[in-house]
Amino acid sequence: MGKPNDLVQGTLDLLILKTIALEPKHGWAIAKRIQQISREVLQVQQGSLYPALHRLEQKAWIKAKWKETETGRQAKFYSLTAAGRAQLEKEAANWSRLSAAINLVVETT
Amino acid sequence: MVWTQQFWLKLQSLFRRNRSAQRLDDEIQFHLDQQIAENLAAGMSPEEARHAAMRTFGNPTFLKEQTRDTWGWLWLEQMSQDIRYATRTLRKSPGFTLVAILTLALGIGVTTAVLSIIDPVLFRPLPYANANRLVSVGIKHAAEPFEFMLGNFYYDWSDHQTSFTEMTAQSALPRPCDLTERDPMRLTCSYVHQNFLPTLGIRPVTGRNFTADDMLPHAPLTVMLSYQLWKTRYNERRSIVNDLIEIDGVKAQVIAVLPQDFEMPSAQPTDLLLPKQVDVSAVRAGSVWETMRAFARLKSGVTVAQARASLEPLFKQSISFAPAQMRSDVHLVMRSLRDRQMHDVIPVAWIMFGTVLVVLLVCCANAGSLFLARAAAREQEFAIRTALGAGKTRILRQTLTEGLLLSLVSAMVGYILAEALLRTFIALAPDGMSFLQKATLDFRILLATLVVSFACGIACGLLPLLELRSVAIAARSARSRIRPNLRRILVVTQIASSAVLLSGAVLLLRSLGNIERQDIGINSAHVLTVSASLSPRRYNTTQRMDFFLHVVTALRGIPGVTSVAMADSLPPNGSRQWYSSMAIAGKPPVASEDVISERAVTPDYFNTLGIRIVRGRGFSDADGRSTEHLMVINQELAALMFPDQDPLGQQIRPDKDAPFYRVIGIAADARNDGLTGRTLPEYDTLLGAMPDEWSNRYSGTLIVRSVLSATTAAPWIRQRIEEIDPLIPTEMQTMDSEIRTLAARPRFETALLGFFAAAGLLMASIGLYGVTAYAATRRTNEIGIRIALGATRADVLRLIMLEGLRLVLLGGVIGLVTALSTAHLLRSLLFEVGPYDSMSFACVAVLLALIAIAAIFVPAMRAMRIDPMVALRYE
Repeated sequence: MGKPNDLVQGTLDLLILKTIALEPKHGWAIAKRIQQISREVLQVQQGSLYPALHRLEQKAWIKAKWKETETGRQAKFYSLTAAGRAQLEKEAANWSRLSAAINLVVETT
Repeated sequence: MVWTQQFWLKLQSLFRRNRSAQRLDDEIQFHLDQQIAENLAAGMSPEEARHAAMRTFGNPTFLKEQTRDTWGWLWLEQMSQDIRYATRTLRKSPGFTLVAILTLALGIGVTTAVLSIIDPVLFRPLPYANANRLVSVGIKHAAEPFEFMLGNFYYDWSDHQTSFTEMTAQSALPRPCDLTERDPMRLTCSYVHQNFLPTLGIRPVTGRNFTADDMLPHAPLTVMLSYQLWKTRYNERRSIVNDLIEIDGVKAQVIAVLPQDFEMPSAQPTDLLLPKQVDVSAVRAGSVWETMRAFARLKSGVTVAQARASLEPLFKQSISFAPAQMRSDVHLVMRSLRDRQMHDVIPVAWIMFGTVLVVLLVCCANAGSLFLARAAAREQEFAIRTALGAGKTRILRQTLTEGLLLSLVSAMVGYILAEALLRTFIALAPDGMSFLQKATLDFRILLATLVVSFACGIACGLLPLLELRSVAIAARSARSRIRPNLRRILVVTQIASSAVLLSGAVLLLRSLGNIERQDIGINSAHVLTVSASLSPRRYNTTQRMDFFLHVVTALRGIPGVTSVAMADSLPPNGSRQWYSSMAIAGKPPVASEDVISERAVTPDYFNTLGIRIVRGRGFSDADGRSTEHLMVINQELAALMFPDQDPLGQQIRPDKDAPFYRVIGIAADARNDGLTGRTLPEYDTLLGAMPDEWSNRYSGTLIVRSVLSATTAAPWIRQRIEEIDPLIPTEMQTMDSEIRTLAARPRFETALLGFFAAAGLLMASIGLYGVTAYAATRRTNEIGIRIALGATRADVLRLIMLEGLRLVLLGGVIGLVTALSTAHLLRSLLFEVGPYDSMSFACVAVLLALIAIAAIFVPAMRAMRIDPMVALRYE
């Protein structure tokens, strides 16, 4: 029940890092963004985002700040740290290598 | 930088947990609100929007917990939960908690106290350099507890030996000596050879060692001070070195102060160390007799056995000049210094070590048994908690926490108990056990105690779970009976052994009572004793007589003093002599092995101590002035020497060289061979105004009977003696306390055995309680059925109690039989109590029965009160 549907933990981390790479976002926005970009394919159970976010924060890959949203409410905005950016590049590279390899295997057999 | 952020977050989540949790709630609430707002915008009803938002989010409580888990402090949270829960459950059953803590604390306390006492015996480092290379060398005679050395042997051996780097010696016995200065003091002097300190590897705190010149006969006297004396008498003044002090009227130059931890290798306490000034050539030639204790340092690589073997020829050669009788009576002894110091204590220490480990094990087993009884009662609770989702590890952790918490508290209580016990032991220890005085609870033992108690705690925590599993599986299988049987055997053993200990303790207690209540033949109340000794260098025989007679007269003048006497020794002690050296005028001497006691007394001796004159008369003041030799004998001696004659008027010669004495009276028997020895035949001669009666008497004890309290009389007495000679140190004591000191050893033995017996009994009853409580709880269901079928409460009580009583009866019988068959071992310690004293054994049986019944009664009562409805619904 804790895991997002069919999403391995490492993958969720990568998605979160990628999503907030451009600008700081709060939890709900991150969940929405992942759904939009993946054209609703990745059905992340929204709540499971939070253990992941806090874990990444503990690892100091992302940092959080309470800010006002456009509607005037306080929300916790997450953004990448330098360590997080390095991690994102590493994981993205890993991912491309892995998916390319899998593609290759799937298409040739 | 990464780690600073991590550290900060960790700290925040630790110390601002509530705020962090609140923030998490806010964050998630914001998320849900956003989703609801979106759903509303999509056209849902408010109710529907909220439900849909929750659905896409998941279980918030669970997710929050998961999130908090990432903060990394969950273990702490759970631990504090466990501790709080454990405290609450323990507080809810105070009976169990108290008994469990008591059990463990008893085990820990006893172990720590006894180990602290044993530790210095077995493992204490001796205060010498490379102490394990030091040996004691000497000849051993059966009549002497320790090996000794003869002067001519010593010089011969130290010339020819090959196994030692160094060999040294001290005088055989320390000698009482006086510091004859203003504010005089009685001290103990030991005499040592020149290489004594270097051989032992001891350097003085300040000052120098003895030189060869110091050792020459008639050389100016030099002396070393013990640290204790330096501190109490000279305030640690370093300039004391080179000062002159006066010992027995002779000036001596202080040359050094001994280190604080200095002790004589013979373990005898000493205040002053003086050079053994001897004419070595005279000793070698055998014309001067010297007895000493010799110590040596082994060359490296030489074992004690090798050194012994290499000395054997020297010993054979030296002894070949001795009479044949002596040759067969003595043998060479060489042993490590530690063995010599601990002598007969080491085997006892190992036995105590073993005993105490068994005690600790039994305590742990008892605690385990208690936990088990409790776990059986809590089965339901465990079941409910499992049903509510507690994992196996969580329950395990919970029980462990309880065990650890209990053991921690027990360790603290046990440590206090240990400290109290140790102090009691030290306070009770008789003089001969000086090593006990040094025992303290040390840090290592505290640590060991903690480890042991934690092990106990873990074992106690785990046991219930193991047992529970096996109970669940094996409720119907035969194997489950093994464990309860083991526990029953344990309890029977405990009861039996506590019965043995208890019998011994009761016998010793009765014996101690007899010792303390016995009539020793004197009236010791309101009597003060003052002992003093006069150095022959300052006082010749006539001066000594004058001094003592003066003091007697002066003390008589103190208001409130009713009579004063003086004697060379005091009951219940005396000096010994062989009966066979005595002769009656006109009769051939008899050969007899009887030992008799002799004493020299002033005329008022008998009435001052309240010794009755049975026939004839005691000494009078007029007798003191006459030149006739007179004697008073006791009833024993009268019966021994004159079985069918009137002793009065008979002439007795106490010794070959002595004159004949006329017997003028027969005194009632008074103890003269210690508190427990039989009264020896005794004769008393007069210390009167004739100087020849005072030859060789350097010390004596004044006996003062007064109506004043000891504290009032003491300063008066001291002042009167000071007026006669301000440089004579005296020792004052009440006669009562002197007699009490003599009973210190039996008192210590009784206390020790009594303590172990009490501890054993307590543990046996706890064990009994545990087993009965466990059995009763396991049978709750059965009892419910019995009651429902018409059994009365009394039936239930009988059912449970009978089971326990079977164990008590079995253990008690085994114990009493063992006690009776081993009681003869105590015979030598018993005074006027037979080892098979029926009264004592009856006491033990009754006491044991009462305590055992009490231990069984509590759980049996509980079983009796079981409500059948509750019991039947139980499963």
